[in-house]
Amino acid sequence: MVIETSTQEDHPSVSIVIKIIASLIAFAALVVSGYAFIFVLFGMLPTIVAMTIDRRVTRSASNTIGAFNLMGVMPYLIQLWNSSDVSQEAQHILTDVYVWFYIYSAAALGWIMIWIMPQIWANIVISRAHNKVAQLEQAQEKLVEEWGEEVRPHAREV
Amino acid sequence: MSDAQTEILSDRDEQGSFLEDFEDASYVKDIPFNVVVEEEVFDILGRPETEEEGQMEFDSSGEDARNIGRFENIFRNTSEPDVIAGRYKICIDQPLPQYSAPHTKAFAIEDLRNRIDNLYVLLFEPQHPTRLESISILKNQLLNDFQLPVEVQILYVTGHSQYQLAVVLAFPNGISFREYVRLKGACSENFITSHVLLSVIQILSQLHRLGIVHGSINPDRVYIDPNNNNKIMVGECISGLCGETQPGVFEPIERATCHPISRGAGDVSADLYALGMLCFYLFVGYDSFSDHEPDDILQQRLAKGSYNVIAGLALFPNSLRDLLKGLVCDKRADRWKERQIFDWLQGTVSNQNSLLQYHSQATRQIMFNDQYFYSCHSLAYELSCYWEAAKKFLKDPMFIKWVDRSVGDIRMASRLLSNTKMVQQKSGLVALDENDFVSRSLVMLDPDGPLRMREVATTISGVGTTLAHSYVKGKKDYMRAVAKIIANNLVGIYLDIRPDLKKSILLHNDLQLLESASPMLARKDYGFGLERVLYHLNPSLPCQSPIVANECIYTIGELMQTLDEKVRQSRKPIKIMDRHIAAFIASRFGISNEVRISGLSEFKAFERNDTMRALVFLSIAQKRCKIKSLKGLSLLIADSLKPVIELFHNRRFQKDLEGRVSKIAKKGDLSELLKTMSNNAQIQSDFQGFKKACENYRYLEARIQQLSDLKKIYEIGYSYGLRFSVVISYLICSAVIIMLITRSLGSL
Repeated sequence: MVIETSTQEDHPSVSIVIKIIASLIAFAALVVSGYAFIFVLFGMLPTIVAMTIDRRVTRSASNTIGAFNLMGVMPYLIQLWNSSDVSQEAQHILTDVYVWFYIYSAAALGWIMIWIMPQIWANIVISRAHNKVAQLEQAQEKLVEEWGEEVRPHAREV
Repeated sequence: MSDAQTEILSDRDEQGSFLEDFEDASYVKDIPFNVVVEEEVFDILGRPETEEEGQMEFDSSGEDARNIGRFENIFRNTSEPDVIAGRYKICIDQPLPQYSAPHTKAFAIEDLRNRIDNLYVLLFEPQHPTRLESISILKNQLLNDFQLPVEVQILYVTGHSQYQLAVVLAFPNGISFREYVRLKGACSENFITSHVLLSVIQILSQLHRLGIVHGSINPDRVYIDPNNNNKIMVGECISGLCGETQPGVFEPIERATCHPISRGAGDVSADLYALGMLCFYLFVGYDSFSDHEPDDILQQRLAKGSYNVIAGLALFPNSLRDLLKGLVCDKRADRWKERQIFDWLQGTVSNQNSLLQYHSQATRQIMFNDQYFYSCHSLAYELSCYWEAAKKFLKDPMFIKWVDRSVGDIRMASRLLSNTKMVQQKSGLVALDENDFVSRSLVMLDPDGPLRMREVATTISGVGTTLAHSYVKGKKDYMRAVAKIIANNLVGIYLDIRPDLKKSILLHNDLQLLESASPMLARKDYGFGLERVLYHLNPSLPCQSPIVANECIYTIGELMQTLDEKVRQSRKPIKIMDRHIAAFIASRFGISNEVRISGLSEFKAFERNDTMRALVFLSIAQKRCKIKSLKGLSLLIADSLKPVIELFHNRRFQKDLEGRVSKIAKKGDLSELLKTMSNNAQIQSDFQGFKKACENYRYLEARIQQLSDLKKIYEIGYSYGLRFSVVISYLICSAVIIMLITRSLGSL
């Protein structure tokens, strides 16, 4: 994984938005209920792990995983928000296996995305570069055809 | 003559090969030129053309320009080999050695019309200069008692497998004086003076009035007809150069010390000297010098004076003594002129005061080479024969002291002293090399003598023939010597010592020729160098290029037609230009500046191309000679122009130009071809286009390099992918959260 092998230094431009949102949610959860806080903490665990190991300047991995992770946690947070007894509801969610399956599946989608998408993009760019090189070489051949082979060595002198 | 000097005439070998050795003009590379060459450019396309004729204008102000017409009236017979003027058939199997000269062979001829057998032909070797001007003048003259040319033509001689200049002459009437004296013994004083002298001087007067010096008055060349009242006839003078066949004793001392080929144009007084010697010969009745070595006689003449030498061999009657003193006089200025001879014949002049010696004697002798010398002249001659010993001897203070005190010539001594100082100075502007030092010293010591370089002794007018001869023999040493005479301005030193010569009408042309040869020698371009000097100093020399070696080419017209014909006949491409042909053309047209094509000076590759240079010279020649078409040459040059066309970069233009060139070549117009090839605008545009193309190519190359770095490209793509992932995830996340919140608010 690119994120794991990255050795880039930490940068202050870490996704502050996610950090703030996460901190607000965590703080709100802590105020409302200890179970809710534990739910948020464990629910956002993939993001915390990603933030810890993602040392790339752009923090692309932590952002992507964080976004998908939040997407997975959000329905249950709304459920907690709408419930009358937050602690009981939180206990119920904490013990529901499917909840954790959904939350971690969403985070996994983020992991998959950050793993596949750059590779797809890199290959697209390489393929475009190959095409461009072929075009440029054709243009060079045209010049050689018109001005002779001397144009090759002379190109370095001019 | 020294052995080395006599060597010039010996072994006639390797004539063909040496010419090629000089293609690079390397033989003059070590000559320090003191000539400042004005760098003018003879711009052949930049000059205006006259509209009517379309002719280019050339600088024909030079001496050479006058030579153009000289050869035009000699007919070149290309249709009938071995038959002159359609009637005289050369009998190559019947040589006549008695009428031959070293470089001219005589043969019997058969008159195809009248069956008269009193004619013979002289065939001139095309490698040597000839007395072409004299031949041209004499052909149209009516002189009595002189062997005149009957017919002159250049024709192909099958026996010699080459074109040769042929001159038909009538056999002389009677027998030679040598034969006459052998049969009848010595002649009486009265017979000599009243008959022989009078007849010969009358004939010579006619010749001299035509500006011709005979140069060969001797017992073998003057004839007497005992069957026709002892009528005297003077033989031809055209078979050799002036003095070339003349025995040394019949030459005045200033010419006798030169090699026969280097005696130069000669002068009237040399003929009169020879006439005096002829009188002496007839009086004594035998060849009194036959028992002596020619060098011994020369030494005796130098030491005692020529008259004293002959006076020691016979006792002359008073009247004859006066005549001989007047004619056999070593001092040229005191030698009798024609007028004095006529006066003497009428008894109105006597000759008591002539100087009998060439130089006044020194009061004391000086020893060189185990011999004692009293005169500077004889010493100078001896020094020239022993060159290495002379180098040491001339630096000896005792020698300068001898000149100063015993000869009594303070100016000569001071000149010699400053010359010695110059050679002792090892470096600097005035430093001399040892050979130049000896040459200069000998000129100073003997200002009446010849110009002497190591193994070469020549008169001023003989420099050209010496050079021609050294070319024939392939003697690089002699060529270098001649080049040094010209480059080191040895003649200038000569004139400094004898300013009277500057006024000499006789030497005026020769001095001018030598002076103008100096900048020609200093230039190494096509049309200049030693080859140019060769043709400049020998206007009667056919083109010596190995390409036309057997063609005996005298004019540019002939050269162009011959080259064209050669190209047409040859199945494969042949060489059509070398330094000789370029020099020959430049010399005949008097081109004095470097030939350049206008606008091509910045395109050296075009300008220095051999084919282009050949094209320049040949197009000048074609235009000047008004030859309409030279198809053979044009097609060959067009073919050889391919490498020049390839100098253009644009392939489409190359193809287009190739097409145009081959189209023009078919017309045979070399000037048009040159114009097409040297269009400055098209060269400029091609070069600029090429420069732009190179820049484009370089830009594309850089882009390809950038795009070929796959690691970098992958990284760029990967980083795009990461950013894309972030954006997509944010968008999805935002959409889902908004949807959840909306639904949650809806359910409330």
